[in-house]
Amino acid sequence: MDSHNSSPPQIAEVRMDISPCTSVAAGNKFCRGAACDFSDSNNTSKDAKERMASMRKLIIAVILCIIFMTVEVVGGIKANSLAILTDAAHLLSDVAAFAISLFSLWAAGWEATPQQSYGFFRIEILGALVSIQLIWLLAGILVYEAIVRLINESGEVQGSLMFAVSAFGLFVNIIMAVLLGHDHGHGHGHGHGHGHSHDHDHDSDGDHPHHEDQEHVHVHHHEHTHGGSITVKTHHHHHSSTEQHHNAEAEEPLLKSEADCDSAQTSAKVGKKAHRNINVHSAYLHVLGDSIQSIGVMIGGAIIWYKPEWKIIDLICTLIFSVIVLFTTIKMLRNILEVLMESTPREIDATRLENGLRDMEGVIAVHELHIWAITVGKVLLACHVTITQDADADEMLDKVIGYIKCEYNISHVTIQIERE
Amino acid sequence: MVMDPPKPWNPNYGVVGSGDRRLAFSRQLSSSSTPRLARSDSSISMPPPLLPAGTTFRWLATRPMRRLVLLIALNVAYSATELAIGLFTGRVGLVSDAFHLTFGCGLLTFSLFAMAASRTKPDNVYTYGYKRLEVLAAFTNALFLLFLSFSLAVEALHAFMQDESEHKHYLIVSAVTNLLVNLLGVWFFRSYARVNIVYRKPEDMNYHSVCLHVLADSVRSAGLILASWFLSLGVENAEVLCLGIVSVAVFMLVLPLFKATGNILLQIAPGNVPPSAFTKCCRQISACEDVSEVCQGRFWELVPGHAVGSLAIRVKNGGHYQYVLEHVHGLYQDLGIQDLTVQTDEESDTI
Repeated sequence: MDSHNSSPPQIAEVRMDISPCTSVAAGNKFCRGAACDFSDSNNTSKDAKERMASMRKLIIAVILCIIFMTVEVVGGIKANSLAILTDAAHLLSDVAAFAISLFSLWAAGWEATPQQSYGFFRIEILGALVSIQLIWLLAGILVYEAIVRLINESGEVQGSLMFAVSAFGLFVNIIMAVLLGHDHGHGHGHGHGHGHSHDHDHDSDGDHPHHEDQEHVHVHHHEHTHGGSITVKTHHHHHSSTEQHHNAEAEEPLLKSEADCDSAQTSAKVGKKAHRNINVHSAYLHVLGDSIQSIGVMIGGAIIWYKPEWKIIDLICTLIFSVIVLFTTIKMLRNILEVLMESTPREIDATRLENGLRDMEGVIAVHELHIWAITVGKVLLACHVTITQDADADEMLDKVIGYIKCEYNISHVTIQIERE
Repeated sequence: MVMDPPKPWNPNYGVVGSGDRRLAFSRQLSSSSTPRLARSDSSISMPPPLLPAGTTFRWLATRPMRRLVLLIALNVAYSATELAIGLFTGRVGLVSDAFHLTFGCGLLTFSLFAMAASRTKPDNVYTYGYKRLEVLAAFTNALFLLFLSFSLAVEALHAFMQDESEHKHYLIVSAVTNLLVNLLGVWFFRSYARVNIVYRKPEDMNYHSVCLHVLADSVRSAGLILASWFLSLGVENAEVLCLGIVSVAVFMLVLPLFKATGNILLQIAPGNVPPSAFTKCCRQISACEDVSEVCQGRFWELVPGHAVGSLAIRVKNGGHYQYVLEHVHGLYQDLGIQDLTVQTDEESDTI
């Protein structure tokens, strides 16, 4: 068992789940004293590691940005050109966006307080919202500048300078886009390496039905967190279950289904890409927007350089590219809005869940079902379930929680069992 | 608060001379045909919509919405005129002012949209309904005002470094018109023209944010007019001073609203319930004879006035957990938390 644990935190996780049959059934429902739900040591170490990686990336990007910005400011003051200073101001806005993302990343790791009972994960979402508002604001400012350029008939605008400055800006932005967008390769190797090796073990045994057909397109950024921790648990189950399967018959179905769905999840997750942290993604969007705008300004500058009379084309170009930039932000804005409105996350089909719960035997009705997300990837569920008079409340609770965990991978669940 | 018997409508209720100055309220239509409702905190309701509630008339359903539509229309007309004049005569100052107004209009339109959409019933995807949109609109407004204050500070810095003080007469005309339009807006929403308000309904936040928006805009226009007046008097650095003061003023105006809306979006515990009440409730529950442990009490506010919570309780084996459920629900309803989900787990003997 220990041979598969290649890093210290995973060894600690295994030791925590010493008694799988009881603790899996009961421990997930209760909090073990102060450590509840969002502050499991399972998740925090992986969370913290991922957060540190993202922060490191952003800090490097900020430092690079500041260096380039000082270069541009010095050059602009020396050459006494407003265009260069304006571009330096845009780089300053980049720095502001990175600062917001860094702050959000850092703040999301704060401990939960009684006032903020869910922790501070929402700060990520708010930070991303502020970042996107900044992007929209900047697009508006650029359009305004294009109009000003149009109005200044005096011809102070030099196409060549515009072209050169925006080319430099584009170069800087491309470097940073590459830096920030580099997450895919990294995350892949890290989390899924483990997933792969474990998965082979399970496949070779071949005693699980595979829930491969789940609509589990679960691309949330804590994904390899789950992959890591669940893998270890499953492995532990696997060894102990061979002994305890025969002993504890009452727990056998639950155990087996736990092992089933855990392994199925690992196998299902292996095929998916790691997703960027939402703050790194919003910083990346910011940089992407800037590079698109730089391309637009380059084209405008080239046109003015070539044919100074066609100034209106500059304005049209800027408008078109601003609209393109706004389109890139729409998808993220939609995700943010959905989280802030406490709506059911996209990857979970609420109707199917409700029907699945209702189809369970002993369940009469399900009402007040609410599924919502703290941040992209952390989903919670609360509902009231009415059961028949003769059903055992505790057993029904276990069944319902197990079903929800297994099928939909929602681990923070509160179910109120009522009798008719 | 005690419900008073129906009194003749007192125009000063809640504004000057009443006990609690921080209460937000909405004015009753003095010309409406509905009987005057008694003033009470819990049943301040808008008069029924004068128009049928079809979807086309949703944007004109309540009085504040009609006023907001008027305000937006005025602003749009004004900024379009300014933009046109600025483009044709080549004056950059007018164009920048028009842009600023357009951003503001966009935000007010989003507020209006939030007011219209928040009446929609909850559905499958948005299980809590659409009331959060009002809080979101208020947050966006507050954020924009913060950006505005920051940009005014930058402008002050710019004026300080550039040290140019030309008299731009057309700008003064535009500032005066802007001031008049915004003062009209402040008058429409005058009951929310306060910095610290106790929010009782989701609409309170939205109306407050709209009022602060027009208030900040009018402060800015007033600052510009003052600055050019001081400049004409020969005061040095008048522009820097005025812009700086306006920037600080807008910042201070907006900060409480920003914090309040941000907190709701961050799912802070309900503000109207003191933390000691929660601990007291926990103790009362643990004191129940069937309960062995209370944990994972999480409470948050969906919108001001609607609190949601979830709780997990460990019950002793064979306890009457139905009774415990009702008891717990009753306890929390006294605190004002209507939506509560309580999970009762029996202690299993095998642990």
